[in-house]
Amino acid sequence: MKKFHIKDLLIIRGRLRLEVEDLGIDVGEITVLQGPNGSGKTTLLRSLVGLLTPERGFVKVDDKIVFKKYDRIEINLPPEERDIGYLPQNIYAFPHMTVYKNIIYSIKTRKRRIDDEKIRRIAEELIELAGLRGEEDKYPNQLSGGQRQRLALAMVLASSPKTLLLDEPFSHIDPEFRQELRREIKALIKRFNIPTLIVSHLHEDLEIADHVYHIRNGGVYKKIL
Amino acid sequence: MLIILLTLSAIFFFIIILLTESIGGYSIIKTLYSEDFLSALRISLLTSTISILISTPPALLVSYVLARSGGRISMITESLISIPYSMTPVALGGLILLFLTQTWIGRTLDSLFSFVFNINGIILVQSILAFSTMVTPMRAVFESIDIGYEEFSRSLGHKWLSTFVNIVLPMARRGILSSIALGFLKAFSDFGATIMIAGMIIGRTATLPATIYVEIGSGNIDIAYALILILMIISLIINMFIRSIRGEVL
Repeated sequence: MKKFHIKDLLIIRGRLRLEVEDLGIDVGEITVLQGPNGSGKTTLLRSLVGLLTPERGFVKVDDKIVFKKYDRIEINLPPEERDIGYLPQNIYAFPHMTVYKNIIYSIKTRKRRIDDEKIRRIAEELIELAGLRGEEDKYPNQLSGGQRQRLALAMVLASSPKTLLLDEPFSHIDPEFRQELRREIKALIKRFNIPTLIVSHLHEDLEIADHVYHIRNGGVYKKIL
Repeated sequence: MLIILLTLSAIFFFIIILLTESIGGYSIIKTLYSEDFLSALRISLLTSTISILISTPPALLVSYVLARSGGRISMITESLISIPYSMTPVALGGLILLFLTQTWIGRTLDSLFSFVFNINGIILVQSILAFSTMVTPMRAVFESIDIGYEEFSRSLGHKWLSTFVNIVLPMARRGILSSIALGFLKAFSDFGATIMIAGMIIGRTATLPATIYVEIGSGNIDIAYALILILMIISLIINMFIRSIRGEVL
């Protein structure tokens, strides 16, 4: 089994039916899942995070089973206990907090026991890595689209996730900046060495993928690169 | 903002005095120092403030749950909660009085907390009115906040309470403050429901609106006039406060 693993997952939401037989991602790997609009990409991510409950299946994050249901629910951890970093399609950096406070809020979750000095050091490092040095006192609405996206990713990384799920991370970015942001985000993910699943409908996103899956006829299949 | 507010209040105050033929401004100012007036003002401010402190936490929780649950049950619950706000105050007061005197639960509660003909009765009535007034606007405020912020906060590892305190409440603060001000105004200005429970004992249970009624009935026009003016000024200030935090004026 890989570090992040999905088995026999079945999701039914209204008319949507999506089945993931076997999808595993190891540390430092980036897997891109492609599929047409309405095929259930976002629904799959929301189910993995714990915002929706699948009909059946098994999801493991690191060494922890976060969801297990066959005949009945055996394990169904809430989002805050899954150690899954989730970057939704819309950017949800908190508008009433500055860049610095957004990062601090994201650190003070699963790492409550660390002291203020260490929290400050981690925040500074993440701000540097996300290319937001000099923007610490700005509010999210004062940043450009690319900066907001990097801030949101830095927030997700600040929460020390064991797996990353990114929902169309480049679709709201102007095409001329996408390439650069894609490179920066790939570098960040590789540095943190986290299994990462990116869902996207953009063909260019495949260039940062180690593995590619696609959705066809309600199933998720691996594509041989 | 404060200067504009005070100037407008002063203009309003003096226009009323100028329009008054029966009494002079000096008489009104003298009334402001009278024991009846001061005790009514003290009782009204004290009971309204305590009522708001009691009713705000449950109003926040209930309106949040209503905003996030939706559906028919939510709609019915909200309609039931709105009854005290929308019904005739005298009928509400009568209902509470009958409950406190005609049912064993009510009698037990009254023997424990002394509601009837007591200042605690005013607090009870005002708390119910303030709660009922605040729930609908607060629900609208919570509904206007994209649930994505809460989901993102939870996926970062924050539990529901931490998300509510650190994300939802600060994002909703303007609407919450405005709803609290509305609740305070409703509690502060109530007459009918309050007198049904607590009566109008000057110096003990008579609020500002109740004292106006007593003073007019006793022919003390000066005091009644001063009380009416003060009530109008307080209403004006709170209304302007509500509009200013909504960003409508000033």
